[in-house]
Amino acid sequence: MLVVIGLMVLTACGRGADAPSPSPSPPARVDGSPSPRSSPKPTAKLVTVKIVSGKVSVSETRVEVPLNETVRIEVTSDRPDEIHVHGYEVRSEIKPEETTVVEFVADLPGVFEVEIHTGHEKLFDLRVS
Amino acid sequence: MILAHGIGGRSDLPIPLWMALTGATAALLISFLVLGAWWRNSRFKGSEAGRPLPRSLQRAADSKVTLWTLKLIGLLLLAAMLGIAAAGPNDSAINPVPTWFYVWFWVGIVPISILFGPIYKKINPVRTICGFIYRFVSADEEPREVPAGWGYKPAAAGLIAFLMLELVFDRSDLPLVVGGFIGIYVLANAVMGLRFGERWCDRGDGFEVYARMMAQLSIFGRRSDGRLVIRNPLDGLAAMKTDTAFVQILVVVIGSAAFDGLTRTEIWQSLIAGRPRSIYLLLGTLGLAASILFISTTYRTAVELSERFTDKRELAGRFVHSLIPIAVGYTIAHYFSLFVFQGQAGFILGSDPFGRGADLFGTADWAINYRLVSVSAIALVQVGAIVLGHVLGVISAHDRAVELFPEPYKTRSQYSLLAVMVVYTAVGIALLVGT
Repeated sequence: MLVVIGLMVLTACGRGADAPSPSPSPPARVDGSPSPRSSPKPTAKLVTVKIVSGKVSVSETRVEVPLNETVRIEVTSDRPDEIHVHGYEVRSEIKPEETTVVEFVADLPGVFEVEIHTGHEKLFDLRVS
Repeated sequence: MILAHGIGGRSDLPIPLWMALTGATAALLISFLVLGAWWRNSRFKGSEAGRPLPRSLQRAADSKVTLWTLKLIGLLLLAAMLGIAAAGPNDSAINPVPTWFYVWFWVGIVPISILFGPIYKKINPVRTICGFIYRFVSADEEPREVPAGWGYKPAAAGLIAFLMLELVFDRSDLPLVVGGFIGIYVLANAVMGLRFGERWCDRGDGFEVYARMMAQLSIFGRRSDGRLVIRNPLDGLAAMKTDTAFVQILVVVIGSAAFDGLTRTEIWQSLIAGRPRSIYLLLGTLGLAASILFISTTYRTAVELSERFTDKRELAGRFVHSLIPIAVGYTIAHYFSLFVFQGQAGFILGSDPFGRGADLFGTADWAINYRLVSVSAIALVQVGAIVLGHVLGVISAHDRAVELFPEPYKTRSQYSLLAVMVVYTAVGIALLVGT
């Protein structure tokens, strides 16, 4: 027990003392640029999100992908908004009447929330294992 | 944990089934081993045990300078939290206060207390404020005793208020909400300090009581003769004062941890999906209440059965210490990854507390390193903590039973409590599989 907790403390503090090692994950704020014309890669996991007057419909609410799979999220909304993939810190502005495409490689294991910022509504869980 | 946006945006994958089964089997086997018993007479001496630390060290630890330094640190940290919560941006992705409060304070208080013993009592700004208020404001000649009949209910109520905020309320991550909660919490306790002085915190301040409970598992403690000692954590547990009222705290802590686990499961997630806010809050409240009630009922039933087997009464308080390691196991299982990952955000956001481009620690532009601990290491820690907590709990309970009961009852008296512990452990592991 003590060893486990010692580890908790050490690992947490270790980060603070480390040299600022650039995290292998994407930098803090990446704007997935809207590029409606590029077609998804054949291996990409596609998730579509439609928002009509605040009502969200998602193709899946639990998206499971293997590690290092490309995830492609296509969002259409009738209102301006922002989509945020937690952990990966992928953020992208959603413009009304336009398909916003967010694409990234799922290279961090864990369960991450994907949400829009209006009302902090959760769109789906991205489960990378 | 349902802390949206900025806090806890990452959660753990389910643990592998083989690991769950191995853990559960190990817990069960060790339980029977302990029951069948290596020892028939109590081994733990509680507050009589321990090797004294050098007197010079004790003098330093007990000195006025140390005492006031710790109090000052506590007050400064509280002031910083309130100030940054109020003046910083009201967004937990920029403002460090929610991360400091939920991750550094609420989760961090566990390893701090287990590593250093009951140190939080010395830092606790609520205690300091209660002392000040009594000294400088109260007209009473002497602080009154907190009525014995209140038990630990005030502390339990404070903890429940916090847990409602953390686990049920859907805007719990907002810095203004966190600051408001802390402000009201401190104020409510300060009012009680007016009558009861510092003593109020012994049974009134939920956070201090929680920290003290965790500190029973520390290698540092105080012997009955007042010496600061290093001791076996199992002696530390046995040293806990027999107190039936303390059950109120343990059932809240274990019950809420179980509810926390429940909210992460697929079943709960699909239950709340798409519900209106009022229903969501109602389900959360009911779920939390039901979880606490479940733990409370099972523990009390087990103790009553045990009382029926023997001629002893008032056993609930005599075995309550054996639930502490189980509570710690649950806590580590649920918060380990949050502490390791979101804990980093405390440095990152804290470097620029007001979101104005400052960089106090040079860490402002770091990103959380999610590769610090692997998924399998997390799963191992989760199962390991629950199983180890179970084992320590069973050992503590066995030792207390052989101490209390004469021979024909030594084993028999343990059946019901052991069964309950196995249930808690099985539930804990099942919740980790079901996420």
